[in-house]
Amino acid sequence: MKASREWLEEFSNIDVTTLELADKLTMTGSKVETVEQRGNDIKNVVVGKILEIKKHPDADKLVVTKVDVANEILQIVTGANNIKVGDIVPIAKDGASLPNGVKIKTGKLRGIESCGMMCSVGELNLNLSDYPEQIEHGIMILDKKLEKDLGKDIVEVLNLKEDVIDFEITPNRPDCLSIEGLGREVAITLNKEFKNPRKNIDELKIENKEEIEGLKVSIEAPDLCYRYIARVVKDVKIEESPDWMKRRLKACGVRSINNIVDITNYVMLEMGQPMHAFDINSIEGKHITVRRARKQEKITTLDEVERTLDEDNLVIADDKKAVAIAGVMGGLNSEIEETTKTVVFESAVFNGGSVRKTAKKVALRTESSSRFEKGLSPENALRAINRAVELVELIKAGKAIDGKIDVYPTKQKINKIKIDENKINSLLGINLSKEEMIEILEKLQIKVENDIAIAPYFRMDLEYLADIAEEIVRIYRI
Amino acid sequence: MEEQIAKIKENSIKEMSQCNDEKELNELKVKYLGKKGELTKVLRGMGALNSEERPVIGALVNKIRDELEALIENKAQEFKKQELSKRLQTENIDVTEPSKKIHLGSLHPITKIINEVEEIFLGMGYQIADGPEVEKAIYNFDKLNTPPDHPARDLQDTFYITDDILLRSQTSPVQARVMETQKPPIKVICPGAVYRSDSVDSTHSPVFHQVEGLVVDKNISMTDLKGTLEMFAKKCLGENTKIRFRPHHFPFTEPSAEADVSCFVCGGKGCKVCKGEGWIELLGCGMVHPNVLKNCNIDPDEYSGFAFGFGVERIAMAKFGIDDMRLLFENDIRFLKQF
Ligand SMILES: [Zn+2]
Repeated sequence: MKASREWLEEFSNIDVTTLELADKLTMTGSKVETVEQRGNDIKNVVVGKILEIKKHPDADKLVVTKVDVANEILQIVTGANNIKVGDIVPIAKDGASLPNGVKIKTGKLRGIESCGMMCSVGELNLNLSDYPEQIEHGIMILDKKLEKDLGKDIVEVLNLKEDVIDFEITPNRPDCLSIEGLGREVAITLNKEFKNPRKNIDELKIENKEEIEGLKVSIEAPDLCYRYIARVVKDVKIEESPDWMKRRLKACGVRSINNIVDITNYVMLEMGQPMHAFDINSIEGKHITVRRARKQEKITTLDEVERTLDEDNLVIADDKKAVAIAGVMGGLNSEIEETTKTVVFESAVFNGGSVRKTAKKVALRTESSSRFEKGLSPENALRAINRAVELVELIKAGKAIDGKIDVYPTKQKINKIKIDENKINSLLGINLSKEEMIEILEKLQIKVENDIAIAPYFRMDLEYLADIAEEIVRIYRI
Repeated sequence: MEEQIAKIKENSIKEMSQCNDEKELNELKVKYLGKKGELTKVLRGMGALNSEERPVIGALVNKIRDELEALIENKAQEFKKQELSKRLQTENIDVTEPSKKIHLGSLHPITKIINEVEEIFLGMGYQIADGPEVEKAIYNFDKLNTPPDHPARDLQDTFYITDDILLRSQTSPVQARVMETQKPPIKVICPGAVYRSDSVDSTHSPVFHQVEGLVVDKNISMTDLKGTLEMFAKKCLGENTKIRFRPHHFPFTEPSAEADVSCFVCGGKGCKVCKGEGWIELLGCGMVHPNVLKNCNIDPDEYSGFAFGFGVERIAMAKFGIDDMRLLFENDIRFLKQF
């Protein structure tokens, strides 16, 4: 699980360096695999403006340019042919270093002095897909508006700095497969207050409906589907997501597709709940059924591969066909398209073992299936869908329709564990008072009432006194 | 006649100088001085000489015979000396290189580590337990709180023989076997081979070795675990070795931890071996999960226990500075000889 520092900061103040944060989190149980500090490897590259382009006297393929970098005019020889006078370009000055390890030095090209280099997208280690207007083999041409930033560091101007921590999350902590969950761990680890930016979502009351816009939902296999919530948004405009959303997705290694699909991925990353979005018109009979697949039932998934299922696999189906393999991947037949006007969001919780088996059978392990297989919280599913709808309105991707369809056959069990401080002390070999223990537990949002610890909805892994002892020891440390 | 004698003398001296060993020397002796030898023939032919010549030639032949005999004797002495020194020389080599062609075997580094680990734990009062490498799934997983749907079964890809029988993917099933057959107090270690369907690279092998440890008794605590591992680390890796626990998760222990040891190369300052961290991951451990105790008919309200398990190759590689696990399995004698 990748998390950017910037996104984590929405959940907790961070007053240590990213490397220190990584070390501390590892010691409280969120094991850090790698820390990537993007943008740190670009040094002394600034914004410049091309003032003049002349032919090189001794080389047909080279030109001699004059470039304004605010405090001086540099002469730079280049072989690029996509530049013109007035272009704003990234200039690696004498002494600059680039992500590929290249150091830039003043030198002569065919007898003419060149005091730096103009950079391409690749030379700055940027993805062409993030800068679709740029070309691969040519100088990166910056926005004209950046003329005001001549001479300034390109890393600052293009906001290229990004610290990304990659975590190895143990299977008992699916809540930490989310920025929110990791944010809670950051707050505990640094002894800060958890900011709880989703408080409004927690307090939201959404009315239950049998039917929205003609849509109905039934669960035929309640042993494999514990909860299925649908909400509908209309007047949808499918377009690109805003930069801040694309940036966060990218930091976590997720490609931006369009605003609606991006919202489902964004919510999954933020809250750990995989989501799905359908075009309402692709649901025949406007009736969603969660059922076992039929023997040899076929579905073509979003990756355009036909998959064959059997009765052990769970599908989301309309009256005629399967539209998704539950918890694994959506079907191509219900994909969000440019023309989509009304979107159905799905937030559901499936049996972990079943999703694991299905993913294995169809050889398709996805971000979604790897979360479901660890067992997700049905309570969190509601928060996630409400957050998705909130985001739709926030980025003006469509209008929310009131109400939710919420089929919830198996209420999430909230685990309660009797605290026995003597047993905990004797198991750990420490000597804490009950009050000290309760203080640690409450920081972890584990409420203690009359010596009974109540596991929060997102900690379904807490079942035994030994689990409580583990929570204490990972914070107290021996 | 005098001419003939002079020629015999000349020839014999020449041949003698070319003579290489005692055998050739004997042949020369026969050729010139034997009963049918050339010089004897001359003596025999003296009957034809007159009385004036006879004593002169006789004296001449006798003189030459004496000379030749002396030469032969000298030469024989020389050969004897040569022979002796040659024998002395060869017998000398025999003594210092007694078994030139027989290679003496030495212990494989893995065996060495296992022996050392066993010795350390035997010294701490542990017994050595053993279990089958072809194991029932129920011992490898189910009894260890890892039911069929458990995601942890995904983490390790196991070699299944049938649905219920597999090559053990860890030495932990021995824990369950020991707890089923012994009553606490239990204090065992179990070294052995384990199998996982990993492809071979510098840090992975489909077969490798683990040492499992298990202690069950009344009032066994996590600090006991840490103390035990610290003592082991000091004995195995050096007196100054420190140990730290990082919270982790295993299905069969709760609380669980990964234990790191301070880098025994740089002492914790950071170097190539510890990748600049100052710590090296050593093993996984924890307090035996109450479900595991229950599954093995031990009352978790009365008893508690700790367990740990580590990879022998990992320790061998760290301790001997081996950077590629494959070297431990290729069994190239040039490599093995170094230990
Ligand atoms: Zn070191």
